[in-house]
Amino acid sequence: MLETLQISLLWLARRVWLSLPLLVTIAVMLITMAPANLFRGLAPAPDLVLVSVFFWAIYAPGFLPAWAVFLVGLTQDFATGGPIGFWALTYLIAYGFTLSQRVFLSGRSGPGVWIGFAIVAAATSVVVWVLGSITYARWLPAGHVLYQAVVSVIFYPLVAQLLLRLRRTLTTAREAI
Amino acid sequence: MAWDRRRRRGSDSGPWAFLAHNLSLALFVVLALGILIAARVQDNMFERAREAFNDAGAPVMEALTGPAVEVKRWSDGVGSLFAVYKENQRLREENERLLAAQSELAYLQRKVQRYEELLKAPAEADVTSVAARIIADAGGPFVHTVLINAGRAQGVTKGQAVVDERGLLGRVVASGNHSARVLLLSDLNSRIPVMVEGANLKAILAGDNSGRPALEYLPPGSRITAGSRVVTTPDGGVFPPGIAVGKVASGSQMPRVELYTAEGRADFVRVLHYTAPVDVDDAEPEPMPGAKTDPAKGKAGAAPVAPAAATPPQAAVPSAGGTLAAARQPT
Repeated sequence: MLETLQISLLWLARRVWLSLPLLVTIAVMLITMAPANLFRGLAPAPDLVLVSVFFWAIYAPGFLPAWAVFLVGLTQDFATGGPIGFWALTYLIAYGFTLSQRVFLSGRSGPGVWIGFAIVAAATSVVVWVLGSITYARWLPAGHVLYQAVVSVIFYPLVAQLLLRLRRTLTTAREAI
Repeated sequence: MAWDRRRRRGSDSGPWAFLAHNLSLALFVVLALGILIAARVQDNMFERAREAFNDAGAPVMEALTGPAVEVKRWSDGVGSLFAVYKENQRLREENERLLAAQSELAYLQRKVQRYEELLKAPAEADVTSVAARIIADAGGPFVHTVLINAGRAQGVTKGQAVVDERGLLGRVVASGNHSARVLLLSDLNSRIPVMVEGANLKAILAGDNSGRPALEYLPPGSRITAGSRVVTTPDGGVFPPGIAVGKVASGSQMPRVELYTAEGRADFVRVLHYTAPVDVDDAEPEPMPGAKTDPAKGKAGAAPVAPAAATPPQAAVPSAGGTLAAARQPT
């Protein structure tokens, strides 16, 4: 009896442990939405979820599989009150695009990956703009989207450093490989 | 790495082969696309889910609001530290102007009240309000909404106007039990009936993702001057009349409005509960000549006398039933 409990507790702890990347991504999203408005008026807030999606796609896709990216996107759709499915689709495309470029990026040093993120962020902003224009059935101003991509790129090294620490603590797990 | 191995083994390349190798990714892309299209086709498909999500997320966001507001106060404080002297001077001047305006306001208020009495003008509709706090701010590229911590339990319903101390902020688009989502004026989907004061022109204030929404559907050839106040109109019976929205901006081809409320500045808001005044005559409507009415209701002039069984229940008191029923018959 006690053994079963122990095993199930261990199993649960392991599940939580392994879903930390997903939980951290959602937490980061919610923190960006808290009404501190540090960037409001000066610049758009960085898309930290995109940073996280890119990071895990490069370093350990096993920790943030496609279903988790879908879940993150759907959470953002509900949390922002926008069209449902918009961010789910956008982040999945960004995730897939990053995965396809993984061969070129995974062995590189910090600045190399940073440039990789810049390319992915630019591509994602194009996707956001096109998808947004289709969803709202009119041409949307692209400036804000591109501006947000630039801010995200600037913030990338800082966030990536924090995620790298998380990645290192999780590293013993088989799923990472 | 497993994926790499597969990729190396695979002879083909390109996006389709890539998707084929990542079946679950392809599956979720299709699912997301399907949801997006379905939600687009049927607008209210996820309304209940949205409300449930907002209600569930509200406590989390409320917990985050405390520290967030502290951070905001701190950053605002650092910014204003350098401008204290200037700010003080500005406030002094403004205070003098406001004091002068206040006495004038009191005078005008009395005057208006007297005129209204003379004209027997009907009293304006009651506007009550509920105070709420902004607990989340969706800073996406296209969507401009905020979440507030008051919902149906506090009397907040869809369509109500949300204001802060400066003016109109937006309107409620979804309300859960204890939370509600407010669509800000700058959102792409925001359309508000407004009036340009002075010119007395009605228009629709259309959000277009910029800080300065456009004035649409102005009558052709109309002239408005920059700086004119723009206020809400009660058209549509949603907003109380005369809430300050902004002033007409200068120097642009399309007429635009400089909003009084800036995004990200408000933390407490008021949700206005407004019922449009409807004139109701106390007299009963006269029956149309020759109109057929249901005899079972027992009040039609031309109809035969209604049977006792068809009288309203409160009239069917055993002893007085018959007389009451008889008394109700029109003569």
